[in-house]
Amino acid sequence: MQSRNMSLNRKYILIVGMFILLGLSVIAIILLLRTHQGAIIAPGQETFSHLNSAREITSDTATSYLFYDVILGWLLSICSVSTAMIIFPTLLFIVTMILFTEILRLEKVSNELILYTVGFLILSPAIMLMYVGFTAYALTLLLSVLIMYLYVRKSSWYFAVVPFLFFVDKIVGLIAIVLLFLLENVRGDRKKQLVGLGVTTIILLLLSGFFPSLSLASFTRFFSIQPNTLFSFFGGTFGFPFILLFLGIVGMLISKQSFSITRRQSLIFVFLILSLFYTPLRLISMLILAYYSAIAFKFLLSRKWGVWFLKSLTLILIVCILVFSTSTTFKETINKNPRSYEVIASETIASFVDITPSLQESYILTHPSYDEYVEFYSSLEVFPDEQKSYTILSSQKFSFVEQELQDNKISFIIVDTSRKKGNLWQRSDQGILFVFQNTRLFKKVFEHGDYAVYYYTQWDKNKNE
Amino acid sequence: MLYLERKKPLSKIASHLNVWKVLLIVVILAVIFFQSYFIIQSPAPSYETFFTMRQVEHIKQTGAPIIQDTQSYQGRTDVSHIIFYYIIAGLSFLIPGYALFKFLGVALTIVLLVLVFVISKHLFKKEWIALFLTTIAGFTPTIFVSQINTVLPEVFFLILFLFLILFYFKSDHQKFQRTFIVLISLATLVSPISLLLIIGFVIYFLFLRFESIPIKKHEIELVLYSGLFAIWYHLIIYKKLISLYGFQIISQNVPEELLLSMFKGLNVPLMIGFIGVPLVGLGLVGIYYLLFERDDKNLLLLTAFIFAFGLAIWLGFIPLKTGLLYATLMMVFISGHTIRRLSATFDKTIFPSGKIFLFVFFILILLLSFTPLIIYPQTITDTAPTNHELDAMDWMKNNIDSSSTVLGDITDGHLLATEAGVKTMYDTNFIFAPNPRERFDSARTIFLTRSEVSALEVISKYSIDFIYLSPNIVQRYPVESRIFDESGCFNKIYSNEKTEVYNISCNPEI
Repeated sequence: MQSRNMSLNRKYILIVGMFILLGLSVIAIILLLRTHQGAIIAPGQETFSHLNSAREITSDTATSYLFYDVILGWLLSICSVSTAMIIFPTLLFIVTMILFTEILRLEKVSNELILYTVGFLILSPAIMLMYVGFTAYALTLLLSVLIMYLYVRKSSWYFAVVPFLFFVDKIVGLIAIVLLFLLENVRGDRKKQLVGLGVTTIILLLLSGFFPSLSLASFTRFFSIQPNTLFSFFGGTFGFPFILLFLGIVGMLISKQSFSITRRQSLIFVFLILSLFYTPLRLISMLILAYYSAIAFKFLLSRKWGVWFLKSLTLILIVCILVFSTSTTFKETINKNPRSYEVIASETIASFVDITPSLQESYILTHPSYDEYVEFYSSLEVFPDEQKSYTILSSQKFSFVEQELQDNKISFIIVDTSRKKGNLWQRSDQGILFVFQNTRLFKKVFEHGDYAVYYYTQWDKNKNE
Repeated sequence: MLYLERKKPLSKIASHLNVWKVLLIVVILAVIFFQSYFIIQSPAPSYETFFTMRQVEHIKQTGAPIIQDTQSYQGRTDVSHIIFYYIIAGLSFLIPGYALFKFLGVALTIVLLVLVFVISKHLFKKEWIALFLTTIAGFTPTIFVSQINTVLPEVFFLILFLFLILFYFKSDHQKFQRTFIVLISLATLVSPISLLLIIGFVIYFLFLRFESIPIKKHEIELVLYSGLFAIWYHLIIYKKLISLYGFQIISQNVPEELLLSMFKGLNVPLMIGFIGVPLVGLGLVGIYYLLFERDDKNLLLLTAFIFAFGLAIWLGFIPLKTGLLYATLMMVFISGHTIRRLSATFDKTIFPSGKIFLFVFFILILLLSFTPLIIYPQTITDTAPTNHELDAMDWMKNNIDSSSTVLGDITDGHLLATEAGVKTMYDTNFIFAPNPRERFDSARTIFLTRSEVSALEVISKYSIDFIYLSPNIVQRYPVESRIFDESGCFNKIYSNEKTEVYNISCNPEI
């Protein structure tokens, strides 16, 4: 019996280790392919948004920031950006996966189901993309899983973790406290824990100055359904993958009797509804969906089919859909901005600013989807008015463009005429491109294919006059 | 004596069967006759069919459909309905020229009516009900008109849809299960309406659950596979579009003004007008009986499809015309249930033959709803170009360079690209199209503005070289005079009774 248990444990460790390695390989492949294709390892805007905040914190110029940015700022003080970009997310991933599989093991989930659950998680774009670059959701997920782990072990140490979760994400922290309260209540004879939770809540709310009023209006800014971000197939980076959602629902329908405490199932259901409205909750709910998807997959695998030839076809289809959606999202991530030439372009602007300090008062005009990394690498602010940016970039009237650039102290204009997001023009003589061609007041200071940076020589004309 | 007595019932049965087949042929011939009457009144297929023609021509020349289209929207990508174009290209080797595109609908009508008869016979086990329903299907305006002068994926899909229903009814047998799987895979490749089929099946399972009717294992498995395959295929094909437009893809990128006319939502009086009062009445009564009284699995499936298509129309997932076509066909089958009940009710009375008068009355009402089409054939023929328009296309083909962009009405887009061989600013193929709403609004500016500068600004933005004034423009924007008549920047280079072509001789001032 003892040797059987040891063999099962060894098998379990092997499975967990294998999948963690697989997950790390997936992340590594994305990063390597990005580097190979001439991109900076971190894709998208969010990483640079956190880096900008971290830089502001370290230089004491930050007006508002996240707890995650504080941690990031500390980390960047001891290592470089590229090192931190690899180590920090990797650590978060490993710890999260180990804790989650431990929770499943403590809940006496079979090795086979653990295998499928972790498999679904590894192949969920939303989960894996959290560990490419910097995103606060990764830390939120880790802390949430840690609290779940401590609760399942019946340890009261989760009191030490709850404040951290609260400061990383107040809404998730509050929901965690409420769920713990309900679950401890059901467990029985946990009065100390209930009192402790109550006291913790009050202290945290007082310390943070966060008092969500009972009116719906105050909650709407935290909760909003945006259909495009809800599902990954609609383009949402952290949206539900279709197959995970589908199998998860099937799994829930199949396993309606599998939980011993029925109230836990109701809480899960409520949690899943809430996850439609708030991205961090959605990411946590994917762990739950992965588990139920594993149940559904196992059911389909072991079931006796009426139409025998459909069994293999259906299972192959499920795997194809999973792999397809994952590979498509990863492919988009590999090709996502910023590319290295965009970084060089921003660094060129930074070198201009070094030479001409007065440029520090000016702004860069560019498409809003580029603003975070342009700001990070150029050390210059991007013009903040999105609507006005579109208007100026689309205008062919020199007098209007000139006036707006001078009034708003815009010294650099970044244009990207490639056929992707950020391209506002269909022809090379449209909008502000026409203005560039017909006046000598704009100097092209950088060019790489469809990507160019123009310097407007009269940006400070109003100031001089 | 005994031998003669034995022979009499047999010969009666034999002649009985032949009578129904003969009557079916008569109904089909009547429908074909009337369809042909309308078809020969217009010289060309419908405007939308010209895109199919262009695809077929390209396949015949190069072996591949047009994916990178340099003409439509001055350049766009389109990967939809590829299998459908290959099928039509194959048929075009048998029937060349316009004839295929004008008369294929007639061939599809024959298949459709035979399928309606076969399915009705399977459902109700009585030939006279099957024939009655086939007659209704043949002469209901919505269905009748859909097959005239048109070769579109949605209409072709209708035939596949009926085959699928038939094989699903018979899916207790393994050979029909295989056939169903092959057909659903083909149907998925032909049209995205296959996704609505899956929604219909899901609603059907919900109905069965509510009615406590057991769902067979093979039914769930067939639908599960079909649903996953349809979703996977469409995720691949429309991935780029979905990631670009997100949830808005559901409105299919259609310009606002056309959105209102194409996707009218669930406008009940309008639907009754399209489907016809008798069919709506019979269908709704049938739905009531099915949902609240009798449990008939096969008819519940058809009811579920009506709900699925109704939901799709209401939410604007599909144009009203397309949704009504499918919903009407389902109504035809459902109304068979009402007729069966009426017949059974009459049989219990002292005047059972009275049902004949009732059904003749229904047929007369149906034919009455059909007669406006004959009195006003232009409701059908207006969907196709006239000889004047074709002459203008010929002239443009011979006198305008193929790299030029011609602005016409949105419905003229396919005609211009196919017959005149020029680039178009827009057309009715909205999926994957670049900014159709913006283009539609810009075109409206040109046709309605009194300002030369405004018109020329838009013309410059889209590099428009020529403007084509067709009867469709006159109908869409009925103004007394246009900027083209007054401004020196627009020179009329061609005109006939119904059309005009202008070139642009000015550059906009900046």
